Amino acid sequence: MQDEAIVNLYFDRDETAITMTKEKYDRYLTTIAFNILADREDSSESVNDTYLAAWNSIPPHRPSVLSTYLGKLTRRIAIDRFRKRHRQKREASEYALSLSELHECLSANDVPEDQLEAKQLGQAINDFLRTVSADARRLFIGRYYFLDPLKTAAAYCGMSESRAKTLLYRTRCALKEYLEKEGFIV
Amino acid sequence: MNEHDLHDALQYLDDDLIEDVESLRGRKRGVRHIRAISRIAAAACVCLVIGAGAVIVAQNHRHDSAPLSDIADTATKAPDYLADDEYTDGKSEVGETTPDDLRDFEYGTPDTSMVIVDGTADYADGSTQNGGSDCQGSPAELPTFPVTITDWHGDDRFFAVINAGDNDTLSEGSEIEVILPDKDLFVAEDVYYYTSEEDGDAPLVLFSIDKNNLKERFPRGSEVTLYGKLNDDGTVSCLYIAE
Repeated sequence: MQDEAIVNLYFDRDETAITMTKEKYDRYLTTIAFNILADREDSSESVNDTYLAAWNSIPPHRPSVLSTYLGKLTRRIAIDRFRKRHRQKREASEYALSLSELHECLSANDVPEDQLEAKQLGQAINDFLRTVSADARRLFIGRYYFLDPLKTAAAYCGMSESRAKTLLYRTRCALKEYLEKEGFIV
Repeated sequence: MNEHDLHDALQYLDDDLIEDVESLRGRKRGVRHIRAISRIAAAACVCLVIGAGAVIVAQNHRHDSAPLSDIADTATKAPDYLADDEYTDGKSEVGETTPDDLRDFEYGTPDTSMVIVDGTADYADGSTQNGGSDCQGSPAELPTFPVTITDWHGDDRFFAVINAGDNDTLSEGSEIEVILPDKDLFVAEDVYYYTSEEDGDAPLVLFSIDKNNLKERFPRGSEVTLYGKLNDDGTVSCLYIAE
């Protein structure tokens, strides 16, 4: 089924939308989640949360590219789950618990600003990636957005692992320089 | 700012950048294979029609003007692939799909002539697009680069690393097509390529072919010869590889 038809099902509040989404994108989304969580059960739950998030956000949102929209949702959900999992591990220590509590106090007021900053930073990274070579851009996105293993990303970018490692290193250095120049604190 | 912030910021990557990589991740080998086969099939259809037309026209012409014994001689003469002057446009173009190609492709007949394995990739900036090769002329007319297969990489995908020695024309970013001297490789089309300057700054050419017997044919340490077409800007756009 075409993405547009699936989105229309969401707009019609037809639950078949989720079935169709699952049929078409389950594997794609599970790979993204698994690259972050390295756990099948957690990945599966993250993908299920993605379907729920999609159901709750479409409408009003009408994604222009359904795959990237769902991918972003999965990525965010899986990263949140990853952080939560590690936070829970740290809670065994009272010190860590106090840090966590203090962090929550601080972050409560910072959320809107953080989001704004993340968006600005995201835009800067976009701008930067458009200045580098196609190989460097694809490799960077494959490794850090999709979180694919280096070997995998190198293979679909058509280069050796060692070459990919070198190229990623250079791209990271160039990004750092770019962000410093743009006034972001690195 | 820390690494978490960068990860959060990547959430705001533009869709077109993500889509570009998505297509690359999704394409993998199978899609390339299908696409190359489609191109081959399309070229084959065109050549069949043109070839059949040419044969009919030639026969009609000879029926009109030549004795029967001449026609028989012509029919049994094997066409010469590399020095051909009888195909569609009267030019000898290595890589042009000829009736011989179709025969060999279908039946896997061994043939020592060069065939193009189109390894070009689509780039978002349009620098290189899929399509027919621009390799023309026989290998004998092209500059040669004696090289050594230095290594093979990969479990399910063979990467040949070729040390191109002092060759100045092969450099980082050179765009090449790899042409292999074996009809069997015609279907093993998934060729990647790039050049690098690893291992003592020697220019390297690396290409991978998923399904082939290259690794056996050109084992580590093999001395091979590359034939390249020199472009105006000094880069090499075609490479032949021969034992």
